[in-house]
Amino acid sequence: MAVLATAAIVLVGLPLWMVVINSFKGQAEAAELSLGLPRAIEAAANYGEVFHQSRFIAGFMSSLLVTMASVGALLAVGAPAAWAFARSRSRVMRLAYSVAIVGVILPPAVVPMVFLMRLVGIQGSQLALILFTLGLRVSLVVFLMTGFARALPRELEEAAAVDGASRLRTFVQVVLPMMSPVVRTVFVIVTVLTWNDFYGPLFLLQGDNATLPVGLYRLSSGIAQATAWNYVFAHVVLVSLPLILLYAFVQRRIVEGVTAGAIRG
Amino acid sequence: MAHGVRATTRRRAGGWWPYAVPAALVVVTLYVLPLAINGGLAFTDWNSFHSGIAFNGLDNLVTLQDQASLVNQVRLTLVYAVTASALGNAFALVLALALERPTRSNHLFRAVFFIPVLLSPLAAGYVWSGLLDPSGPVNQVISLAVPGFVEPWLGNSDLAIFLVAAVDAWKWSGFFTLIYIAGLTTVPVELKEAAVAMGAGRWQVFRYVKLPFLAPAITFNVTVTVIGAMSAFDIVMATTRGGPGSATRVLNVLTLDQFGNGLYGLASATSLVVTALVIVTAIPLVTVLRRREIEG
Repeated sequence: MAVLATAAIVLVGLPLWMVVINSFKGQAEAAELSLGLPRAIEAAANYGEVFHQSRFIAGFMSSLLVTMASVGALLAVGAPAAWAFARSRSRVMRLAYSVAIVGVILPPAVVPMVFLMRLVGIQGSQLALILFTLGLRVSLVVFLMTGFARALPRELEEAAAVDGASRLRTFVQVVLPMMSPVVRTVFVIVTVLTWNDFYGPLFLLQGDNATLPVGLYRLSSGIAQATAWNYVFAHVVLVSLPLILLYAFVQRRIVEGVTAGAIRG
Repeated sequence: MAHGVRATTRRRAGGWWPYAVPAALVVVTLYVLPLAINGGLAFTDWNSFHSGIAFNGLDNLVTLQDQASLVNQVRLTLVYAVTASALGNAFALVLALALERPTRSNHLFRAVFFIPVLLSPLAAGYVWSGLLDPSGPVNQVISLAVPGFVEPWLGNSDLAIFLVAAVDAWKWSGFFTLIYIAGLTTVPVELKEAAVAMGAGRWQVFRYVKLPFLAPAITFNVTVTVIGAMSAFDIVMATTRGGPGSATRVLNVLTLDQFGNGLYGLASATSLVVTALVIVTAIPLVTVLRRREIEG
């Protein structure tokens, strides 16, 4: 217990303390990177400056747009596909499933995506990043959801079929409600991954369309010579807060969902 | 009745495709197609300095080796992956064993160790750039015991790659801990009790009772960490940006560097090397780990 508490304080508590407390200090004082309390509290100035300088609101809206559109589309294509892959016994569908989950292991190809987006004329826009994110995450979504759908009892679907319900109606009224736990899990996982993504936006977004991580990177690399730790840490706090709040609300569910998927898979 | 149900199911067996088509289209156009195009672009001279694109055979790989010591960067990427995976899994496993029982305090600790998982890898990189800064808290603490101690850590070209990989391990271990805990819950209680009753020590209970049940979790965690670390990027960009020199210039950073210089063919070639690296490591890795699972 004492060992655990020490480990938690040293490995998580102190790093986070350093970030938060130094985001309250003036630039010169933050440069000392001390863990002590601020001699002068500059929190308002720092956070205000970060808001202004990194165009935080624009970055936030861009992140929100990309995350919501990508996650929404992924759930919309993933859920029906997962049901089909879980239930169909045809060989073609099995082959299709193997192809669909190839991206769980293989990394994405970002350079040709830039090439394609230029060809279509949308390189640099949020739409380009959304399309990249769909391709990047669809395999994971299908994999997790199909694993869940396979374990669903068939009786209710069969009863609906006997009652004459069409397949579409069975899906919407019987299957989807049963899939809601995995929908929530996948929602949280993909939201976290997309919100935090830096690689995709760095290649696919231009100028003012930048998402928050790109804003953080620009903020830290834009200032010459010494890192302005007060600003960098203020941005780290701002960019991390939404996910920590989201997690606080849905904590138990994702933990169960993620671990069940992993062990079964 | 049962017969009727089966007939209904069979009659509709061909009707599944409308449900799978949207996802299949996304996979094919937005994932498989770019990957295939990359296989082609990697062997072209596509760049921002002239408009045409022509095949140039293996020139890109030769150029990468000559100008960016490709083989060495592949080695670095592997060092990163193995370090991140080994550290992350060792720590996660120890943590899982310590936090196995679902007590209140254990739930709290699990949540605390999960916080780094929620930070963006880029943010995690900045946190550790601060901690490991020459004037940062790590050196401050060490110099309490060793006055005047100054180590540039991330500026040390021998240490940097291991430290950056350790940040990766730090960021993800809370997640792998949960997977290991889930694995531990599959160990039958009677088995543990029987082993203890027969006088097995803590190590023996772990080695002969718990470990066999952890095999699927180990397969998952090791595979995910190794493969994930092959695509390492964000943490490196936040901490060292590939330096000092090219001491932490893992393949994805090299891809960005080529891309940033307008050398798109070279960037594609580097990216293709990552894909190849994942294929040649992932397949044997999964095979070996799966075999071990069956043997228990």
